[in-house]
Amino acid sequence: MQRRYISIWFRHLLTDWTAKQKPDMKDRAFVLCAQERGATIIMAANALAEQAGASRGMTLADARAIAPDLLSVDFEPGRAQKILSAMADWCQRFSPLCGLQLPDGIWIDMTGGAHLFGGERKLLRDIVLSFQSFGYETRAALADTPGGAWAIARFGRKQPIIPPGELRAALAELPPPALRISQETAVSLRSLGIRTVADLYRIPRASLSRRFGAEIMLRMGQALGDFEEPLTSQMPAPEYAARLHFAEGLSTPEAIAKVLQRLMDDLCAQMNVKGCGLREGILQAFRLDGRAERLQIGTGSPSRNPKHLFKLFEEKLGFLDPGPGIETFILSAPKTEQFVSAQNGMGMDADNYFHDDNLPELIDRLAGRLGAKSIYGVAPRDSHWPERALKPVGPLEARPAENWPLDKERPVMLLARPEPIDVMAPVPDDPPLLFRRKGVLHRIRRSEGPERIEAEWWLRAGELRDYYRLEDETGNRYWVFRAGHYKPEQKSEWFLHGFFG
Amino acid sequence: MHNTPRPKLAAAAMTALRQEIRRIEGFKNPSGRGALRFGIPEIDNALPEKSFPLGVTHEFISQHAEETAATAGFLSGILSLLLRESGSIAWIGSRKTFYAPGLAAYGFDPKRIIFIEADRSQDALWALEEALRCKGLAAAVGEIGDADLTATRRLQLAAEGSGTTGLLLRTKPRKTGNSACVTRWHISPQSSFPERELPGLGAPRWHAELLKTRGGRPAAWDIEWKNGQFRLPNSPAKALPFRQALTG
Repeated sequence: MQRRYISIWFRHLLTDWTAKQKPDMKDRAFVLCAQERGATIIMAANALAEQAGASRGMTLADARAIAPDLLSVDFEPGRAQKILSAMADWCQRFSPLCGLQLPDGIWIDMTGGAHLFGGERKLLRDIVLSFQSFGYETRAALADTPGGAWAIARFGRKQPIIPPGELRAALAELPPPALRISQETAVSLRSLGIRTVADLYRIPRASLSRRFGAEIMLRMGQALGDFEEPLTSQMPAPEYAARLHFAEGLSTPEAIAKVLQRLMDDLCAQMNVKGCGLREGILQAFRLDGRAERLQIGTGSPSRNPKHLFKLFEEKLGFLDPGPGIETFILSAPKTEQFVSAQNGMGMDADNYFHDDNLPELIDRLAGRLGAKSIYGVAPRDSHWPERALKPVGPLEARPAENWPLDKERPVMLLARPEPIDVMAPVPDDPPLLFRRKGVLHRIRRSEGPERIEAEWWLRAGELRDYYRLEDETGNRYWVFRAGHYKPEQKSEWFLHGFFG
Repeated sequence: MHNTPRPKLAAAAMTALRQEIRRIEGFKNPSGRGALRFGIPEIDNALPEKSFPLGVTHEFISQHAEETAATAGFLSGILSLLLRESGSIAWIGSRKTFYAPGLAAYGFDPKRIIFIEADRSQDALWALEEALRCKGLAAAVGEIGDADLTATRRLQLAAEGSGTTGLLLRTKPRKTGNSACVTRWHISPQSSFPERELPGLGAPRWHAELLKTRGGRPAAWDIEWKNGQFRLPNSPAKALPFRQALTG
């Protein structure tokens, strides 16, 4: 397929941005300046400053000699990249493949996609009008290569859209700097009387490269499509994505839900073909006013069930603010996993009780509302310390094979914090005869113990515990302990730690 | 009923009618999971269809921690019968209160539990309903304090639809009015009796009250969990008639 690229040029990117921040500057001639080797150098000038004679690279003093009223604002390194990044994010509504052409432009790979936005002419017009409405002087072009589109956007005098195959001719009449060559090369070309790209076409390639080095060959090759230009997309394009565009903009929850359903069917069909399932999904909604909304879901195991995945998003659709309307929806799966059907048992523990196909969907739904941390399984841990005798595992993870130790009696309920109780124990190391808890006196009828549990000193400082199982006269069963060794000179501290069934 | 001239036919008609009523009452048992029996005729006979019905909801009322623990023991016994074949359960609660190493003593493996923590009661109700809708679980236990008729009806419908059994642990409910659950139990701890009067504690023993049951008759028993099964204690224990007036 013939590749098609858009290049957008913001001629006064930094000054337009500055004027947006400080509207009172809008109608004044101003420049952005930086200190370089002791001089104040103009890094960018707005249109009014340029008319007055100021230009990039001049010192501020020289410019003020021509235009005394020139205002100066501090230049902010890195600002251009920040603005362009935000712009490239916005451009993702047109294509997932887009990125920066520093210092003042953006490229978009529109290959095979322009018809979704009403054709190349309408698309390009919409892009230019949108950026202009955001306050940026904008030019854009569409051609077969990113380099070619760059040249036409900045130097083109005729039509901004170069039909497929006509780029060579369209570039011919442009000056050599349209090829993105260095300043020195441009100067020496001019000194040789080479005024247009057509002049370059006429020079044999071998002598061209001998005379001017590899740079000009590379740049010309990139512009003409002889060499592939390495481009870095703002976002890595997800392998699985579905998009829908609506010129009018959608805002009712019903319409949005319907769109999401369609996108989900599309996305799941794509994943179905490749035998993988979604682990992470992102819905991007691009609004008419230029803002973008975003919802994200995750699953505990790969899924390509559109109904299920839709439900996960449905819970969150309320957070999507459509504003004046949403024109473009993009549903993508940045993270997928090869789908292992639960039935064939591949990669599953034979002892796993969680084979059922319905479980992953339940877990995802619960996690979507309660948070993934709230859903877990438990497995025994090799520790005598009661609070540490179990560990959490993933809800559907195959559990380790080891069994729960049943040689020691353990309560069915364990208090998160042992509760201090008053105990009467007549003889050291004897079980309590009675204890008081919440004002109620419990007379002990049966008891077992002590079971001594040593603190795991390598994990925590703490005293050993002597545990007793107690049954009071009404049949209530308790797990209590005395903290530390019995010391005759000191009152023992007793705690209730759990209840037996 | 006493003046039926053809008892055999009438009995057949009665059986059909009874089945129809059972179906309307929600005992569809669509998953064919079979019935759960305590293995104690006194108890099984008091239950609808002479068994603990599956694919419906049951509630267990407890008023304080000691009762809740006793209920958890009794419930774990039921889970161990329920999970004898296969399956997993969801356990929905607000805090990490129940202690897996202790539950394991009742003959089922807590590794088969998926714990779901929901702090707010409406989240817990929602999560329980979602779990009950899921055909992939054998049972869902929900620590639900208050649940009115509407809420329990939703849970009951979810359970009927999927065949998953719901066990509601209702601790300190403010009200225990009407509910759509098929049975309501109250389990309280009873003094244990160690065999041959050995020192220490005996097998867990409870007073189990079947307060309400659709299609069965309320009753109460002393019951023990011993050697991996429910049993009536050898010592003082017999089915005690309990609030016969509540039948229906």
